[in-house]
Amino acid sequence: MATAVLPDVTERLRSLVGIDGVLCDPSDRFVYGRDASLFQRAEPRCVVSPKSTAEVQEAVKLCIAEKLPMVARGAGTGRFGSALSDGGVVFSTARMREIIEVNEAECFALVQSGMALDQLNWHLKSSGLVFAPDPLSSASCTVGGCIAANASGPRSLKYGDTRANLLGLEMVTWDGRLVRLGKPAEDDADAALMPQIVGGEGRLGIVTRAWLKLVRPPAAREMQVAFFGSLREAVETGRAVLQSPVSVCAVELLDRTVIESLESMFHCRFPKLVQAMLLVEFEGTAEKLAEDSELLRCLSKQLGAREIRQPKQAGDNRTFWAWRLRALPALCRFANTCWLLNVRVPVDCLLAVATQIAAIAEAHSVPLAHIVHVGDGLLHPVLMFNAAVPDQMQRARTIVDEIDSLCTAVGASLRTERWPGEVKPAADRPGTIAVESTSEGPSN
Amino acid sequence: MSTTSADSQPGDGTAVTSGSNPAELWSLVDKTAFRDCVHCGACVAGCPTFLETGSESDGPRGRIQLMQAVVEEQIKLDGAVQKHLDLCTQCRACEASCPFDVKYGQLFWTFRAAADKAGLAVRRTPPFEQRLVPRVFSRPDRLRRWIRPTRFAQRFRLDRILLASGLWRMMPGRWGRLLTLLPRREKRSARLPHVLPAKGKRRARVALFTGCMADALFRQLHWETARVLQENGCEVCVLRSQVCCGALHHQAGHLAEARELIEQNTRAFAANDFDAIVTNFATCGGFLRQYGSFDMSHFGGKDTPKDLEARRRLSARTGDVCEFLDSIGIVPPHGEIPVTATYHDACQLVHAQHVRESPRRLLGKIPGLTLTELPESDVCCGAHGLYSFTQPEMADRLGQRKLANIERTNADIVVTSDLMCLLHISRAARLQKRPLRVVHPIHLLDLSYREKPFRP
Repeated sequence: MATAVLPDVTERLRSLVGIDGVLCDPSDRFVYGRDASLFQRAEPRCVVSPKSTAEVQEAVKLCIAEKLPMVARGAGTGRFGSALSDGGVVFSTARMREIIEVNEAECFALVQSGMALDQLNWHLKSSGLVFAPDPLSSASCTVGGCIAANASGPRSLKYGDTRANLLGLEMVTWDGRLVRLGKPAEDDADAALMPQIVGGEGRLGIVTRAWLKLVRPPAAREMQVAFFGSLREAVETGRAVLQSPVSVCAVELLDRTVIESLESMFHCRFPKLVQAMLLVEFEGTAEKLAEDSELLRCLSKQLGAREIRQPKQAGDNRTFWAWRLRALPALCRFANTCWLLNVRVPVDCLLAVATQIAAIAEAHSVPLAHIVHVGDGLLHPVLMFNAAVPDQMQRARTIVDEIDSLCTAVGASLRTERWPGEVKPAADRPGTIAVESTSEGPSN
Repeated sequence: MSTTSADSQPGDGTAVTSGSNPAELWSLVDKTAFRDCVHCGACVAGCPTFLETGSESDGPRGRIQLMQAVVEEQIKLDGAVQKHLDLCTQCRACEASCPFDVKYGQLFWTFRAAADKAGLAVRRTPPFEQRLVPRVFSRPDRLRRWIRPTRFAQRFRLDRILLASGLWRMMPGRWGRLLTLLPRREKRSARLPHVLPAKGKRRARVALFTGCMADALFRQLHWETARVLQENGCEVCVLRSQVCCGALHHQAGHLAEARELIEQNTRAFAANDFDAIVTNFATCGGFLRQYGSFDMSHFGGKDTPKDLEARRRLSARTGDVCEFLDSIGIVPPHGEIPVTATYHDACQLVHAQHVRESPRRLLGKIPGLTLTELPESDVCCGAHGLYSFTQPEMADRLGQRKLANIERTNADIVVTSDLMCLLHISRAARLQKRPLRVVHPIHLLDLSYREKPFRP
């Protein structure tokens, strides 16, 4: 159990960021000891919520002087416990949510790092521009968190991950320096550092402001859902779609377990006895959409689709997206614990890895579901068990270990939270068992 | 930060059963609902109090974690925890944004009821909540009598003097707040008759829910609602046996009174000779729609399957007037109202009843009216029920936030479907000395139907 920081340190922090900006009550420390991860529990000494870059820098300097470890936190939607700190100081960006500049002519926006993605895009609506990364936690997750996790989402297939949409950033490093990279610096010397910071889980410092690239998406999007009798057919169709001239922006796959859960939760009237479902979204002008839609239909049919569905009303993709968004909630209804892993694989061996992972889980008799971003080769195996039962937890851990060695063997990378009860002190940042820089994730 | 002792006595003086079995103590609380929450954080950014304070403990996820920790005896229900929980505006934005369908409202109420019962809660129950709600607010006739002095003040413009000079702050208790909250005196109007016939061919027969404060302060709006419904071929009946919906009692923790009102209304609306129960204020509508989900044993009563069925039927037939009109399709209004308006989503309409588009669609049919989008239109304005009395500071902050967003739209008027929002936003504007009209969509529709000019 960590103790709160000394009263005089609290007072000095308060004099820097304001009375409301420092939280060190037991209840606050309890709440900030959790994020969206399953097993990580910690207790920070206090939470600091600055409002500006200058305040961040001052507070960081004070923490250095007091030898307090520091961790940055956005909205706390990360699944790997990267926003937690046991015995350290949590720097929350929740009060840094300003849009400083939107430049429609040059298509960029300068925002503070605590800005939530959906809120940002709401404000951009009138200009027709968007900040493209679309992690599924976009309702809450912050720009800073996206940068730390290099977040991506279904449409990153077309628009790229956070790194591809970032022009520059301003950050306070954990040794108290103010650093500007990319656009504002106009100096490429530091540009080499960008990959270390984007996707670096906040190891180097806390991002305070970011220059974001904005894009203008085409007017219309259309969607098609195909059901398959086997996972193989679905994956192959997905790859064929990627190679076809269709201008796809998302290719998502849900396996049988997910389909069955969705069916019993929401009565979606899926066809019976299907093994996989492929959701394809494409965009463009009206003529191009009609053309693509026909092409997709032929392609899917040719590769063995049992049934193909399109929205009843053209452009109304909400129902189909709802299936994808509700995949995890649906699974959660059927298991006490749903442990979601991130496995990034070369698209060529996606099917092989998915099948082998399923086989590993089967061997240990733990149910497993697959949610897959086919487009960028990201696999989300979901282990369904009850973490409160020691035996089941043990088996789940064994499975994850085996998946980890499988990934090493085939050149894939696994990213998940570490085991419970092994939280290291904040100085060594709580992290993941293997971090690859192009990691995706519902991010902070 | 206040650190009131957890052992102090609550307002209602129930015996404290210290050392009672925790399993029994929290038996009201549905623990599986905690398990439904996987702490994904999707709800956080929509929570009004989180947006204001930036503290996770003032967000829905934090509150759920705190309640769970209290129930599981990991932390004590002390003053700080209580403060985070009390700060919740009950807007239920989190429920609307939850992909896992966690019933936050239900959880919160049962938790609070259990804590109250055990005498654990350190609730500052201001006299307003304690006495005024059950005795005055729920009875339109009494409320009218009670506010007569302020009406008198308004007639002689005393209220403006109090407001302009800031002297209202010197008034004892929450009276200053009440004075600043009261709307301008409206023309005295007669009680609505029992039945108002439909114009032209009858398309539906509806019961109009009149409520308590609504009837005392906004009877004109009831007339307007009736006229608009008549215009659209609806026969409107106004049942004499209906009473206040009980939302304020429920919020203030007067569960026994709430139960009585719920039962009276269920009896009153049991008749089957109308197609829908139409409400014009979102607070009433939202609460009536919840009737079917209540378990009367939480309210200290008993429940028979028959009663439950009757309540469910009532909830299922209740609908907001805008939603109802939009669903039957309205006769296009002719009168021009050349204003720029913006629409504020009342929490009790958008989150509790999932009505978002229909008021906007109706407003869009009024000739000459331009509707601009309000940033953060569905973030609570801090008005909900008695919130502005129990948490005046946060209510004012949220009111200012709403006002600042309204300012950005350059709209002349604000349209909203709830009485509380109407009062609260007007008050915020008045205190800032900004001329801002806040009106109900039906008011504009009625003017347009009658081809009367709108005076901002």
